[in-house]
Amino acid sequence: MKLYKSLVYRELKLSRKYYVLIGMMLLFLAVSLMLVLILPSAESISTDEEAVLPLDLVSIGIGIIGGFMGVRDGGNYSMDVKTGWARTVYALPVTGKQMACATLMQRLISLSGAAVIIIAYAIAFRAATGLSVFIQLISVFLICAGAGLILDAVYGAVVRMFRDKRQQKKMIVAGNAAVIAIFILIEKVVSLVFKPSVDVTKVLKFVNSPVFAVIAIVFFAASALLYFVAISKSYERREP
Amino acid sequence: MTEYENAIEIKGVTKRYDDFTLDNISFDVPKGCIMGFIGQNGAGKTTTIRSLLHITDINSGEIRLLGLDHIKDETAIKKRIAVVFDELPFHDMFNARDMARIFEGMYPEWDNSIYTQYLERFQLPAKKKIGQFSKGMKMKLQIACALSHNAELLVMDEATTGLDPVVRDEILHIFQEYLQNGERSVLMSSHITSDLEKIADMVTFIDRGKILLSGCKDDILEKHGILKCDKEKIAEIDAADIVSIRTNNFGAEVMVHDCENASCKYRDCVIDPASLDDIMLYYVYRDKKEWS
Repeated sequence: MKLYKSLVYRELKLSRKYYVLIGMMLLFLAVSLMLVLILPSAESISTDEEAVLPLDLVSIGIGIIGGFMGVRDGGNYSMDVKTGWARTVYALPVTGKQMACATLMQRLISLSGAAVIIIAYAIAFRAATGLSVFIQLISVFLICAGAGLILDAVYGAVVRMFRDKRQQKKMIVAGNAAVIAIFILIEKVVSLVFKPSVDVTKVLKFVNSPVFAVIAIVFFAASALLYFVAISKSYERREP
Repeated sequence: MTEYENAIEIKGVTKRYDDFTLDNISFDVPKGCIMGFIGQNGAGKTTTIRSLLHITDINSGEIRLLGLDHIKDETAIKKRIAVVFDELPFHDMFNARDMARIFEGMYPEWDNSIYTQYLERFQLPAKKKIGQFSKGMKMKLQIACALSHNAELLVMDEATTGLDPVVRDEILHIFQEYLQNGERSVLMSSHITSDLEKIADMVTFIDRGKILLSGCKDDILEKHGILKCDKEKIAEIDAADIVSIRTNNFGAEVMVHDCENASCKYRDCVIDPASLDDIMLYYVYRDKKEWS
């Protein structure tokens, strides 16, 4: 446990500025949305389902941002390569699995920070509108966090393939290209599922259902497992 | 804990790159000894160190550290060794205290009191960010980290390169102190042979991926000599005695690898003692035989 404490401490200390920034952004978004709901000028907003729909959609945005951004590495991978730490790790008594486990733990800690803000927002939303967005927010949050973990694993694996300072440019281009390729793939899948003819209200109802919540939990768990395997393999891989 | 005679055993190790091959190298570092690993830049020192630390996979051969297999027992070995690289691999935003928090979880024998003693001795501020350290301070911090977990084997890759003579001398002194109990060993790669001449018990010369010499430093220094003669005299010297010949306007300097034998055979010539620097230089030009 002492080992993980050390490794997670290192990861958190390195990325704390990034996560503070993401946390502040999420808080700002959540507070702004709540202000729209509770300010006197917004009294005209009806709380029936049709009228709340735009706010409902915007609320999902908080889940998307929290999920995607909460699991990104905050620049740790490339910093590790630049400083030589990525190579030094091989001289330390730490296995690839332990490194991957510590990285995953750090991601889960930062995700739980984002989750707290999202849950607080869901409670405040219910208090202001009487409608519950809890399941849909958490489900979307988990789906995006899972997708974010997959992106992070791909980026991390690509960056760690090039551990040399001289290969930095190649590494950054390749890592970012991999992430963009996955974003394009996600966009294609989303546009196939959510065609213009699809009724948004029905989609939102499905997103707010327990079935979708279960799908989200399973997807997140599978992504976390995939992340662990990919990152531990990238740590176990030796230089050519 | 395993009993072992040699802290490092490298047998027939080959590592192939597109433009370089570490070619079937073998040498041992006995327990309690400082081994100087000498070679010019690109000779294969870093590749050897990366191979023994399993940073890179080898194509063939066997490496044992502290009596254990370098791959099978990797984690057990790495708890008992310390590595110092030529550049500090710690992030600039950390401070010395952060490094202690990171390493204390990794090494079962990490001792914070020893670490603090080294920080005080090196006059390193515990709370100052590493990014604000000078090169000498960074190297001292790396050494403080390496010496604070009771490592039995210290591996250093060009650790003193780029440091001023005062800092280098201070660091060499610390290493000598560290080895006093006879249970610890050091492999120190460097192309600054004066450092190794001061502290090494044994030396291994590597050039173009091949081990040229390996053994007790004093024996190697004793056996090699620089025979000074006229250019005309070179023809009379047995080729088997020569490592290589350096010519200049005034004559020739011939490196011989058996000083005693050469002093008997060539009584009319003066043979000066050779330094590690000389030995490295003459061996590098061994294929040319004659150079200036």
